[in-house]
Amino acid sequence: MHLQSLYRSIKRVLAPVALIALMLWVPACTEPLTYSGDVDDPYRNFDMLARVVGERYCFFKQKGIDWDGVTEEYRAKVTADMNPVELFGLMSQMLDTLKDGHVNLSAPFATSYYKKWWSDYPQDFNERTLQQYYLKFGGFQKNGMTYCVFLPDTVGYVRIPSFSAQLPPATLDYILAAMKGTKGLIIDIRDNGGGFLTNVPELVGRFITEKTPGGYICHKTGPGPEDFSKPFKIEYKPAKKHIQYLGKPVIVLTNRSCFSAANDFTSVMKSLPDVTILGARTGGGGGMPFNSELPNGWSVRFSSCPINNAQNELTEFGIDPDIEVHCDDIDLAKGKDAILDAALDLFAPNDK
Amino acid sequence: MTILILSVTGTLAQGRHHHRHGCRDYCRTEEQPECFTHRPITSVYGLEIGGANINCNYLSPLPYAGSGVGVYGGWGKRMKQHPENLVMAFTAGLNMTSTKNPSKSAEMMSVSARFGWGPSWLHEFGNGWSMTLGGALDLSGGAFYLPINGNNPVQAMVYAGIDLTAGLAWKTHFWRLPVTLADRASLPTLGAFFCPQFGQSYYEIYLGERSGLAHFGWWGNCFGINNHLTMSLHFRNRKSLVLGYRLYVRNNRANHLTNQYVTNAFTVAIQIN
Repeated sequence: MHLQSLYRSIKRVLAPVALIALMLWVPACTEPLTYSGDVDDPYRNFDMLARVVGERYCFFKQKGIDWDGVTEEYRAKVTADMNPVELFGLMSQMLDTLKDGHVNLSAPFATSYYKKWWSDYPQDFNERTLQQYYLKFGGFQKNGMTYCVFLPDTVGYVRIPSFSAQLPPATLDYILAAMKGTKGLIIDIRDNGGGFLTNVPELVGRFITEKTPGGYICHKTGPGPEDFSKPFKIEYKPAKKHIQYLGKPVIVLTNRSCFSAANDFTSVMKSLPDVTILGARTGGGGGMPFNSELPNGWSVRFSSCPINNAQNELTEFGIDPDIEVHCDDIDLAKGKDAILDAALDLFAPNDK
Repeated sequence: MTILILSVTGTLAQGRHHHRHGCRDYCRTEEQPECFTHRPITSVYGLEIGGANINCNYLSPLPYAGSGVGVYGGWGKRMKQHPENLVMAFTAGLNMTSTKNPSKSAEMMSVSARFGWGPSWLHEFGNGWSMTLGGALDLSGGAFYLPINGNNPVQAMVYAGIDLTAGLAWKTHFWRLPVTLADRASLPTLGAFFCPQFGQSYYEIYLGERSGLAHFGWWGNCFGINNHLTMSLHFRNRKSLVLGYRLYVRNNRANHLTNQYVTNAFTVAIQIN
């Protein structure tokens, strides 16, 4: 009896113990998922930035950058007692060595921004001049775009100053319907700093009749400097269910401030037979960016996926126009937009 | 996110004793002499709330920690071929988490759903002890969402495969109330999971570059477990209150990317036999 009672007691105790032991076994199989250490430590944050960019940035080779050497140089300037503003300044300087407009470091108090891809070049555009002397403060405006028909040559004009919002297909339908009777179309993307890449196929589809190769994209397949995928051909489909603009000349106006998605749009349009790129070389930005972050909460953005043109050539450094034209700042101030004038002139001779 | 197969198979094991009692009572009416072949559906409807940890280096090199909530359900039935030992269960669950980075400056959210279906073999040792062993088809999916990443804000999680399931239950009494203590675990064993390339954007996938996205998963690269410790308090009206603790782990590694998802949650459920 005593033995049976003891057996029952042991069983009652051992049962819960066995179950709890089973529960404890499982956490032992998982890795710790917590961050230990001071999130504001300058060295930790610097090292994280160096590692993230080193593993994921995509243009080191094309730009001839020795990232290990750069990080070594700048790490020597890090001190344990740096305040956040000092650390931010140092990191920003280091990122500027990438010479990439897609690279930003964002802290709560500031965002770094490499400007030399456009600041070292003429602007070739003045919004006031366009609006006052050419559009007469008129034209139709919808979803950030302005459009009108220039008389007497009935040349359609669409200004797309940004791709930062998705261009609604219905709005493009209205605009292209309004251009139905025109002899040609000018698409003015000067100062367009980019935005949604999905606007590119949306727009390009309005100007093609069949599947058209528009470029190549690839990505990092690992953290190593040579770890890249094979280029994937990007094909654009005609927007047959929407209103298209076909069989007539199209001129795209560009300047150095056309960047990223606007650069990509220029690259694709340049490969189309009825399209002429006119103006200045674009600003580049041919790498699709990625985001990451540092332990102190700052975020970093950088080019990660190179997008090349239809000939699989790099577009990071900009697209050359078919016809190079620049605007003189004094002329712009006087109301003369040489790039727009040159585009209008291309249509005018046919009637003369 | 896994499967809760054993929640149900376990509860079937728990409920068997009580079902027999109920069935005997029912037989007294002599309207259902075949009551021992009657195969009722056992249902479980539960809520869970607890902590969550996420490590997704596609979105961030930093681990995120926070909390999560979820609902789950399970429906089980003894199989006609071997009603004494074979049970079939269907389970489903939906979870949401909200987590913060170490500096608390960014929030990562996740939504995930899971479905499972499979049989288990039930064996009773006597003295209130029983165990279940089985397998289950596992389909689970969801996404991590990190809004501060303007260009790569989402990482998707998709898994389809077969889980091994096992459980141990012990029926006892707390005062005069029948109680079952149980621990049940399911382990994703063989399957396939989705993972983009190291630096591949979803835009590229949208454009059509879809090679190398599906990966064969096994314990070496796709470890997970759904471990649920429960205490069921069985009431006379064939309903039970099930209190528990669930550890849910999903890890997968491919293309130099790691997705780790862990929740620790207290669960409360109603079981209807």
